[in-house]
Parts: sequence; C-alpha cells; structure tokens
Amino acid sequence: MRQGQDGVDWGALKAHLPDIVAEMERHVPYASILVTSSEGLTLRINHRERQVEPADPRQGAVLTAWCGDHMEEWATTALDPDRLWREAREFLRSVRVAPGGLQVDPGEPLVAEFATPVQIDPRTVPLRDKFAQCQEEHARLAALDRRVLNAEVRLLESRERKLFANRYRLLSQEISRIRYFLLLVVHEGGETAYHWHTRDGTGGLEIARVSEEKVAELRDVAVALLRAERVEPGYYDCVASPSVAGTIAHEAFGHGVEMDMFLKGRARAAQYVGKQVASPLVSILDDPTVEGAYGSYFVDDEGHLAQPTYIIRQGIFERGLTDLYSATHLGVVRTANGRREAFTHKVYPRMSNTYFARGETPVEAIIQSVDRGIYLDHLSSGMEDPKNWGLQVTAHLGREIVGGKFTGRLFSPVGITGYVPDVLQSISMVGDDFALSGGWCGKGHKEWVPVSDGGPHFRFRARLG
Amino acid sequence: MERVHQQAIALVQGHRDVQDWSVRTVRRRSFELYLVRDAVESRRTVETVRAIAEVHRDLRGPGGEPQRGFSSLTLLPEDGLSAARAKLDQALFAAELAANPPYTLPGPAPYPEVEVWDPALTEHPQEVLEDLAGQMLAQLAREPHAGPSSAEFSIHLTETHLTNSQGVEARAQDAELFAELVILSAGGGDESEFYAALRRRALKDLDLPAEVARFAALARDSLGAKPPPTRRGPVVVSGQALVDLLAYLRHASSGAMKYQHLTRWELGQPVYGSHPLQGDPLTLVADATLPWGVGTVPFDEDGVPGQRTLLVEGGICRQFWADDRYAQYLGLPATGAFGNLCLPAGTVPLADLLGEGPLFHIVSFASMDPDPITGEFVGEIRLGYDVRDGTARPFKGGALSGDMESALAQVRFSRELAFLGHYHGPVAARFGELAVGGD
Repeated sequence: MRQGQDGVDWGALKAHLPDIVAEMERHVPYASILVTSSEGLTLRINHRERQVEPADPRQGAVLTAWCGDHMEEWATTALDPDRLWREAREFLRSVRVAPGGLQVDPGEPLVAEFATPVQIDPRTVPLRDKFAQCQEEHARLAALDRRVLNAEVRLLESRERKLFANRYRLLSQEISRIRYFLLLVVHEGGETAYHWHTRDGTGGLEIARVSEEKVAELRDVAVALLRAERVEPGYYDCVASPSVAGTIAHEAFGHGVEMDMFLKGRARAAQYVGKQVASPLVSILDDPTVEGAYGSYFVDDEGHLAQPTYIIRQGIFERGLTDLYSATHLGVVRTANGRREAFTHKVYPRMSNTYFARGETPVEAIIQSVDRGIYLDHLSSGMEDPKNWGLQVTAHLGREIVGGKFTGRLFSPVGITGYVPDVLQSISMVGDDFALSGGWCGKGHKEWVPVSDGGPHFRFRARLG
Repeated sequence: MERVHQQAIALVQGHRDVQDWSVRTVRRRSFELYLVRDAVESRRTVETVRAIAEVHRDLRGPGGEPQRGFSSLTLLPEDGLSAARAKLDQALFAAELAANPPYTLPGPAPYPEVEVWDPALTEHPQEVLEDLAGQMLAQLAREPHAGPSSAEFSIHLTETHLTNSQGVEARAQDAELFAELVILSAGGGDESEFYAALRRRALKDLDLPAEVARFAALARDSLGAKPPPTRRGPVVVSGQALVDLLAYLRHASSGAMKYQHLTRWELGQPVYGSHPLQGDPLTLVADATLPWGVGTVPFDEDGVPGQRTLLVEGGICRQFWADDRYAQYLGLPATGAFGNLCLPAGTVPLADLLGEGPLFHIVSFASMDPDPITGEFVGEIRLGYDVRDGTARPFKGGALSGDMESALAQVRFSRELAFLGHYHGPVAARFGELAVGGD
C-alpha cells in the first residue's frame, strides 16, 4: 500500500473510484467523486506572541449524483476504499431520480496528473528555518520606526491534493500556495494607523520574500496614515492601482457574471450579453491557468480542465462563468469555474484569477492627466451586488492628485460605489503595467476559495465616500 | 467519535515532552437543501469527525526565564498510528518554536445548563428543511410583486467531547439552523432583490412566513429606489444592519486584541475616546448563556464555563472578554467564549427615534465591517429610507461612513428589543450625526 504524506492511499483510490462511479451510474444518469486532502502551516510572529499552527486537514470525499434535475451529494471523511463503497451504497438508497431530465456532458476521456511547479518546496525547508526567517523579518519591521506599536509577520503555506473521477475522467492535481503577510501598526499622539504588504501565489517559498524597498514603503505609508483624513463624499476622477482595479473587476464583473446568478434572476448582466457595457479600452478575463497566481488550478472541482474566459472583450460582454449545474440548465458551454470551499461544501461558479487586460498608456501619463482627483490603492474589502449592478469597494488608501501631481494628502478608508456600467464606461485610460494580488473570495459571507485579481492602472470616475 | 478521542488522548497523555494537553473531538452532521427559484438544486448530507489535540511544552528562554509553547494536531478517524505519531512530532517541534509567556490550562468547573439543542430541529432535520422551503414558497405565492430567487437551508448538529490534563471532562451537543433567502421583486419596469441570512438554535424562534413577508416588502421598497442625497445628519440603523455595525464592540472589548495593543479601550476609562457623551451611555454584555443564542456554549474550547460578562457599564470599560491564556497574561478573570452580543433596552420608543427628521433610516448594508483596530467604517447601503416631512422615501446605494468612538458617544437606543440569533438588544439606534455619501 502506497500512502502519501497525508496518510491517504491515493493509489487505492485511483483503482477504486472509477468502479464506484460506475456502480453509482447504475442508479443515476451521472455521477462523480471528488477526494481532497490538504495540509499546511501558519507561522505568526508579532511583538507579543508566536504561533506555529498546522492547517485544518480538510480530508474527505464528496459523492455527487445528478438526478436529472438536481444534485444529491454525500460528503464523508471515509477514504478507505471499502468504507467508501459502503457509504456510496448507503447514499444511493436515499437518492431520488427524476425521469427524463437534462443530460450532463461528462467530457472527453482523460486521465492526467498535474502539480504546481515550485522552486523551493516548503516540505524541504526545515520548520526551524522558516521560523527563523519570520523572526528576522519581524525584527526588521520592529526596528523601522520608534512609532511602531506592533508588527506581525505571517507565513501561510498550503498544499491541496485533489482526485476527481467520473465516467470518463480520472484527474489529479496538487496545488501549492504561499502567502507572506507583513503588518505594521504605528501609534502617535493618540492616533493608531496600520498598513500591510502581501506576497502570494501558487508555488514555493521563493514567493516569501519582500524587498527592502517594499518594507520602507510599508513604514512610510503606515506613518503617513496617522494623519489621513476622510474624503469628502462626492464624484471624483480616480486612478485605480492594480489592487483596486482587480477588485473592481472581481466585484463588478466577476461575481456579477457567475452564472448561477443568471438562473436565480439575480444578475442584471444577463440582459447585456453581446452588448457594450464598458469602454472599448476595457477587457476583463478570468483565467485559472495564470502561472504562479494565487487562484490558479489545473482542473476545477467538477473535472473541467482549466482555461481562460473572456468576460468582456473591448467593452462587449461576451459570457459568464459556470459550474456544471448552471451550464447544464442554461445550455451554455461550460467554463472551468465549478469550485468548492472544501469537500464539505457545495459547488458554485467561482472566480479564479480575474483581471483587466493590460493597456498601452504609461502609468505616469495617467496620473499626470488628472487635474484634480484621487489615486486609490490597497484594497481593503469589496462586496458584490449583481442585481443592482452596484459596486462597493473599500480602498485602504487614497492619495490626492492636483495638477497631475500627488499633493501628499492622504485619505483612509475610501469607499468606492457606483453603477457598474457607468464606472466601466468611464474608464478613459488603461496602463501598460500589470500586477495580480491574491486573497480569499466569499460568495456573500461564506464559501471561501483562494483567488487573485488585478490588472493595470486605469483612470475612471466614481462616487467616493 | 469516542475511538478517535481516546486515540488522541493515548497519543499525548504521559508523553515526556508534553506538560499539558487537551483533546477536543467534534462530530458534525449537516443536512442541506438548496433551491434555485422554486426548484431543488441540491440536497447534501455531510458528516465529519475530527479530534484536535493541543500540546503544551514548558521551555526556558534565552535568559533562563520560564516559557511555554503550544501547537496542535488534528487526528481523523482514518489516521493510523504512524500518521498520528508523525503529526504529534510536528506539533511538538512547533510548540518548541512557539515560545510564549507561561500560562496554565483551566481545571474542571461546573458548566451552565444551556438551551442549544432543539428536538424540533434534530429529530427529522431533512423533513424540517423541506417544510421550511415549502413555507417560504407558500408565503411568496401570497406576496404581490415578489418571488423566489434562491434559498439555502441547513441544519448542523454538533457533538463535542473535551478532555484535558487538568481534569476537564466535558461533553456538549448543539444544533443550529441556517437560512439564506433572496427575494425578488419586479414592477414599474424595475427589478430588485432583498438578501437575508438567518441563524437560529430553536425552530420556534424562526417565524419564516413573517420574515419572508417582511423581506418581500423590503424588496418591493427597493423598486425604483435611487441613491440618497449626500448629507451629514441623524441616522437610524435598525435590525441586522445595526448588528453589523455593532460587531466592532466584540473586537474592541477583546482580551486578545488588548494583549496585542490593538484596541484603544482601557479598563476604567470611557469607550468614546476623547468624544464627550451626548447620547445613551453604553452598556455591553457578552453572554454565552443566553437561551437559544447562536453564540451560547456551556464551555469554550479550553473548558472555561460559559458565562454572562458585563464588559461596559455606563460607557466605562469594566472588563475584557478573554480565554484562559489571554486572561492570565492580562491579569484578568477568564470569561471564556464571547457568546452573544447583548445590550439593555434604551429609553426611547422607535417611533420617536424616527420621528425627528430629516434623517436617514438604514435597514440593510451590502457590507458593513468596521475596522477592528481604528474603528473607522464605510459601508454601502443596500436599503434605507430618507425620512422627512412625514414621509419615508426608499433609497439604495450610497455609503455610510464614520468612526465608532464618536458614533457611540452620540447614540440613542430604542426601547424595543430584538433577538437576532447571536444578538439580543435594541432593535434600532439613532446616531446624532453621521455622513451618508450619495448623489
């Protein structure tokens, strides 16, 4: 018996899953099984404490039965093949199949294995060395300024292994993710402010490095935020950094085109397929194949191979993102966006890496073009509103621009709201730079999956408050 | 469940490198029903068992000072002995690195009898879910200009067994109902929706037809609503929107935040900072014993009994809520889990809070998440009302912004109370002056 480091006998599962699926399909029109196992570590060091905690080993299987018009699912931690067989039979006893019903396309036959390329495999680096790196980083932050109240370094590493089986497919993937987070909290004259910097991606510990320049910028911004003001509510000419641009793409035209929303009557975007919804300078994509991006994967959780999707191309809304259920019911071609938070959670259409495509204008030219406006940077939070096509993004930081130059005046936080088509159609300049940053995306306030978003700088107009 | 619990204890108990330990085994069963419009999208059944063992090691710092480090490992029922030992070895090494000031684990204590297991939910959970879905659809069929978009219903049954090296031996079970509803409305060439998420422990605490009727009315009110005018002035926040705003109080009163120097609250000092009090003085209670509260527990993850703790009285910080370790670090009594956020009734009827316009009345935020460190907030308004001249005109969009210290210094609470799962307190609050950014 060959076991992985996670104690799972992947070889045995590969041998048994196709037969279990075949047995399930004696009772239901379509069946699949997804086995997942994850492991990882969080190291956390700040002025007051240290923590080294293993990640929750989300290890289990979810059996899916398509019953003609709906899904039935059974999620279990049983990964021993004999026990999985027993649970599958017990599950099938409770399944009700609707006669007739829609047919599910199982895809072309394919057996494949995928793994994230890594330069420095975290498993080969002793825990003591990783801890020492975090300690040194913490010491560097603590020494930055006499006003530092607290500084925190967090290193999160995770490895997720998945095995998917349906009638024709047996696909496995191993995704390695790293997130390196630096937080600086400063205090002076009764005021407290903070700023942070993150490096993240799919890969190895080569990601967990922050330059001296970035650390200095972290200090400078945190200290400057001590005197940040509140922006006067109103409409402004704005320049979005890639971080803010990405969140606009994510909230405005990512969540808004998750096609379960079309089925639920919640997406205003459904009325605009094939229509102009943004400036011709604007293209937005969702792409799980971006090498090294935090939201990348090879296969979605329903066995569909990853591929990029043009959501908006030169201002025209082309299509949305699907899972198996929404694609089947809407009769559209599937995209590789069926994702679960864990085997214990349901699948939904979810984003991966969502971004504005690069433009042609140098960033300096964009800033210089603004007579009076705000440069918006460092996403704080965002929330979707697909029905009203509203936009809500909060930027941690806004910098005043007057006469094409920064005045030194800062605002924090800055809420960005507006009607999505108005915001996207107001984009008048798109930068020739590009950056992605990772994070976690919820559907509402739950169902968390790793994603990234970004793009270039761009100039637009929005309501700030 | 018992087998993996005992396996975890056998692993850590008596190990030469483990001075203290705890094992908390959790068995969770979930029953879920998902609807798209009026049709079933998915039915799910989930069962998991896991044993989380914490190991605590006594260490010496560079100067010989006593320290203690901890880490944890999670055992699954399928873990064999070698996998379990490998996890323990990693946890012990991690604990050696994660050296902190010393602390002790709690010992046995009497645990309160709490009401968190409703047989009406637990005996036939799948039938309960189907019935709730039927109630929702039946009510919506009666509502003009309203219909279902989607709904998710789930019941989670949890059993917990906690044992530690100081003699704690505790068991608990709890049930929770979750409902997420999206109601659509259409009329006059416009479409709108209202989203709500509800959590309850007792089926009797969810009058679903009444809630659906209320949400349908709010969805109808959203039709044709435009962003508000930009204005500074009185703002009333009610229901779940108020709970979202007051979530800041849990962070500001946290012992963990205090230990990290991340909250500005000080014992014996006003919670308003330098702002003079112009409204009702704040009284805040963290109550882990509230009957049928979503946050109610007989004991926390360490074994500290659930209790009712007065955190703020008359605007003065009296206590931080803290688990056993942070309580020892701060030299304060351990309060255990935060539980439920509770405020006493105010003195002003809701009708009076809403009577002196012009003001904005906000009933729903798209997202409201006050900064836990600075208390600053900005949140988009999903639905509110512009109240003036005796009328209440619905609006949607725009953003409410401010900071919690100054907001709390000028708040008046309603006399009427509401129970919203993990909140028991005034149904509404009026803030003297906040900024709403709109058109």
